[in-house]
Amino acid sequence: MSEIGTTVFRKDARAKVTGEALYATDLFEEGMLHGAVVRSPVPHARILSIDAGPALALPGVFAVLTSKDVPGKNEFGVITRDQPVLCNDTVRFTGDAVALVAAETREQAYQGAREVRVAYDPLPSVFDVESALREHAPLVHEKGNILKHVHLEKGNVESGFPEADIVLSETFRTAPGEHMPLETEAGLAKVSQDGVITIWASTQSAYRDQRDLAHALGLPENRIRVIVPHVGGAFGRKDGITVQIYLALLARATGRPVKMHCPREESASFFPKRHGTLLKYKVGAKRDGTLVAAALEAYYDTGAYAVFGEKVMGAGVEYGLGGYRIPHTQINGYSVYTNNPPAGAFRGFGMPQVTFAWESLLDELAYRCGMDPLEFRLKNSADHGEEGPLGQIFETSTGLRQTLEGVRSSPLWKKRLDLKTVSDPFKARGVGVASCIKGCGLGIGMPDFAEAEVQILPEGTFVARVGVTDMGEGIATTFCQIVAELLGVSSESVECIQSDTFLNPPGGPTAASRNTILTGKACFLAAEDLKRVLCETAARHWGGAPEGVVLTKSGPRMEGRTASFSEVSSWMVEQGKPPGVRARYDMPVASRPLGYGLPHRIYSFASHAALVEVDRLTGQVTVLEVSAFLDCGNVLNPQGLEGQSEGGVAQGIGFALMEKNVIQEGSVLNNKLSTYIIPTAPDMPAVETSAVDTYEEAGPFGAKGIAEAASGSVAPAIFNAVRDAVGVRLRDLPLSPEQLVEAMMERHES
Amino acid sequence: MSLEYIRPRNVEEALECLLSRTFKILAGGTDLVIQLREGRHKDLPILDISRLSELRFIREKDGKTVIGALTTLSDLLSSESLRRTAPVLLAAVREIGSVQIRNMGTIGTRFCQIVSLGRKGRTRTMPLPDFLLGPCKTVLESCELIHSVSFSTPPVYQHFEKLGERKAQAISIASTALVSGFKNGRLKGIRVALGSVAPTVIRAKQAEAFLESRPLTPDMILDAGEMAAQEASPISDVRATAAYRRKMVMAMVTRGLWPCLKEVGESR
Amino acid sequence: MEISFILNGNPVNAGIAPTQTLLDVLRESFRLTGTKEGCSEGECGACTVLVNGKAVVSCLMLAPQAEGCEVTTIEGLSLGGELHPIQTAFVKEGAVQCGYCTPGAVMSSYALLSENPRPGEGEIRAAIAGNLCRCTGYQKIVKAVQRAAEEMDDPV
Repeated sequence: MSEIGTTVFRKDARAKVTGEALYATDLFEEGMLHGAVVRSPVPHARILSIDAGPALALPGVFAVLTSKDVPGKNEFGVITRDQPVLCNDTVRFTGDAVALVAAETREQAYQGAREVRVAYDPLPSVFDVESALREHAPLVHEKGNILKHVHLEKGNVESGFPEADIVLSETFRTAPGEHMPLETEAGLAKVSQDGVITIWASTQSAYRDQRDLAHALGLPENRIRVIVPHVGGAFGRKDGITVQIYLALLARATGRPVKMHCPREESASFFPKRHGTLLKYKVGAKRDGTLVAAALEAYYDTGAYAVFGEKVMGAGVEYGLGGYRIPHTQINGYSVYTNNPPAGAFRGFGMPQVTFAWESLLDELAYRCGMDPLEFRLKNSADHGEEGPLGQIFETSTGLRQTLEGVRSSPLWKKRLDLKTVSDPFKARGVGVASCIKGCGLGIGMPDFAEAEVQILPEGTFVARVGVTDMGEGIATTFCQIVAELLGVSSESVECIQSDTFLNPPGGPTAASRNTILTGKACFLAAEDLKRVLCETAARHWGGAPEGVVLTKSGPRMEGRTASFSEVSSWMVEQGKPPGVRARYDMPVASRPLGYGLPHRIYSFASHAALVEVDRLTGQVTVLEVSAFLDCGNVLNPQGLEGQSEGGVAQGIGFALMEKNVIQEGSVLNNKLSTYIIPTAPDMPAVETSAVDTYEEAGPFGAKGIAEAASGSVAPAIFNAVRDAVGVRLRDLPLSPEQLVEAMMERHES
Repeated sequence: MSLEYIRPRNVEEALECLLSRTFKILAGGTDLVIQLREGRHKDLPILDISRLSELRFIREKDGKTVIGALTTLSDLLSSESLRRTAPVLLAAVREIGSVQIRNMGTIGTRFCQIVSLGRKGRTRTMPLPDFLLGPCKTVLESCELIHSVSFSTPPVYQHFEKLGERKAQAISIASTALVSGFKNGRLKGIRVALGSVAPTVIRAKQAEAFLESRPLTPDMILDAGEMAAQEASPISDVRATAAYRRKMVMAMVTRGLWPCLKEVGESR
Repeated sequence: MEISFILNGNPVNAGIAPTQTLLDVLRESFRLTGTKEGCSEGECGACTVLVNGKAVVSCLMLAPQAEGCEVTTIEGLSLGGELHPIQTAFVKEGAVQCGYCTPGAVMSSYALLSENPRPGEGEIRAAIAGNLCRCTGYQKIVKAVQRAAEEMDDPV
């Protein structure tokens, strides 16, 4: 293997370092208009009237559209279509879309949006899950404030908890958060003469977008073409409709190309966020550290619309007790509507929240049992073939134990007692560990497959056409490596062409740590098939048996005869063969379904160790070192893996220590990069990444996805390190220095 | 949007413009452009003084440093003389924004003891506290420009600490600057400045007086921290609560004074 | 109003509104879209360009301020198709992921190495502190700058 397991520089890096790479924000069309959204300034109200007159009177304003101008169904949503494209009678959050404006310039469009007069009759609102679940709470939707309740039980917690020697009950809260991709929501739409609407959009989900666009525009899907240019980061934020429908409506209504590029404040206020959660845990263990029973009540605030709400909460349920052996468990998960801005998918998909809480709680339990927190985890971690906490069987590669053993053998962990020593009397240091589990794929019940087409070009190079988008993680380069490896060529001679719903086969979203396995495997199968076709073609041309043909880097060879790939390509034309072959791969499903789309069949695991320094005076926490041990199956591209890991750690540190949407009465108060704090270069510690030795049979060359697990256990490792450093544990995330100072003082006084 | 943009050739011309009508002054641009984007100062013409080299200088003479108002923050950081005389100032400047912002932003009203203001034909000079009226409010009149800021070389012990939500590009939660000399086991010429915990930067004068009143002890440092905290009048915002800010004044003043225990010992 | 300046080595003119930012003029009038808009408040650094050799955020600079100045954008670094050593180092070290922050980070690194050819790790981190990146965690960007410094110092 020459292409697999070695660092291949990402194919798009050159275009990105020169500034040539075009993103949705970089598209300009002759005669294009700019679009802007009129958004509700109140969290919950009836719309009494909309007057576009003052806006239309402004210079440059070309059109104003309202719900009446939505020709198809005025609704969208990934699972439940409960969000109006443009609100007709009710707005449900501050920022709900009411009308669209198209104008000659971006400034004029936003100016126009400010001048559309909308009269509202306020309705009572609800802003937190506890209030939303009270009797007689204001209803966000008529059907009630519970979008979904999931209940799972294994064993019997009633008899389980009494068997435990030590039982802990704790409540944790996590704040809503922002993805903050450097590129905000953007796109451009254009109607061609044959009536096809083409939308270039910064999106993770071209094919689902096409479906949602067709639904809202009342057009067949073959009249909608979605093309994805380079994507400037997404992390779940762009998994679904952001501005795509608005663009199509405006382009269709005005007959001109229309561009939208959301300013940062709009992006960070009104698009789906990471769910804020309320997590009530109870866990019991024997004195020797054996876990006996665990219960979780998880409340996920999905905001005013479902987006992915029930699935994100479902993920919380699935990952909320980690990958441990626990005989008695009970989980209740609630996805709850409020009048907050909607919450959606964000790297980890509901997992980082529960992982923070659960791994904090386990750590505390280890202390109470008088055990080393790492040994405690190792004692309880489930292995391949064993039953997980939900009753699922870990029936594929299961590397939780290896990731923990990796931590145990790491310099950071071995030297942790020495590392705690610090000369500054105002500082304290500690080391913490935590693990996480994340399924690969969308889960049972959601169509979860990908196709790929691998073609040979006349010049003898190859193209992989896929339906998914590289949003920065580098998956397109991985696909090239897979194809190159099977064909025995260099990845230099393979190009990957991404999402174009007219030209490429469908691939589903770039999400859920699914693409290495799904689209990767589809590329694998297509390349394997193309290899067969190439050999057959050469054999037929030379008059021999296909088995006698071998592919070399330069082309096929048979009994002393050689040809270039370019020649084979022309023979394929002569022999009437299409230049490419398609393959499809369906995500394998778990053999023991638990209902609610649970569980996954394939899981990735990670463990992180963190060294932190706590400022005893200010409560500020600095992360000094992180070691990551990742169960991602066989590593396809080490540099790509490190990139995912280091970026995952950065997001984990932000999640743990900085990031929090301050939302007051439904309004986001910190919607700028100056007020919503993400890590800068000086905030980042040295990150050491290692992959543990596992092999996932389902994935291409034994690989599986790691994007989400690579970030998931960072936050609890930090909180656990803080506990190690100063002896106090906080239960609200992000860590509040103020709370920490108070907790340290309380501990000091007692 | 303002449609007029004037770039005077010298200070004289700039002051003349200011006498004739109201302008929005563009110095570094780091605040003004944001305000323009927010739709403020819509109809005001812009007076771009950013290239008035007469106001971009750092001079040190006889124990006094004078810095022209248009000196960029990066200029300060590359000044050898400031590195020698006022590291506390550079420590504070390093915490402002990013390299890009420091290349653009000017010292303007930031950080100085004495401010000189010029209007055509008249210059007035005043201590910084008199210049600052409140958040983003100063005594500067619309026909005036800041000429320069000046300060006497601070004493040898200098300490700066800023508390932000991250390690760079952070808006301050609270900050403390301390300078002091030492004589006979006591602090001498101690100045304690507190940032982001009152409507303007303030000095903790009670704490200063207390610290000079007797030979320094650890308990005195804690008491001075407490006093400084009481002198602050912080507010709560998205970054921190008022209570935390007050505590942090105590924490930072304590930390800043701690090394003085050793220094005063050596001055005995 | 009309402004003239030197853009990537060439004298240019542009008709602009006085309150237009340099960023908008670069992107819209000159279609130099390598310079990105990430926040419009000087916080993210995606719009970093060099003005008279100094790194600035072009979203906080009004276009008329560029009058007579030398402006260098990411497109000006690889004139003639040859990558600058910093660009090559970004490619080889895997310092690029989504790439939206990349042009700005490259420009800040260029400004740093122009003033300080052998910066330490802390100096590199401080120099790119104004270039927010959400993908990489910065480690590989720091390595790329170190590598570029070595190669520029000791060209092979």
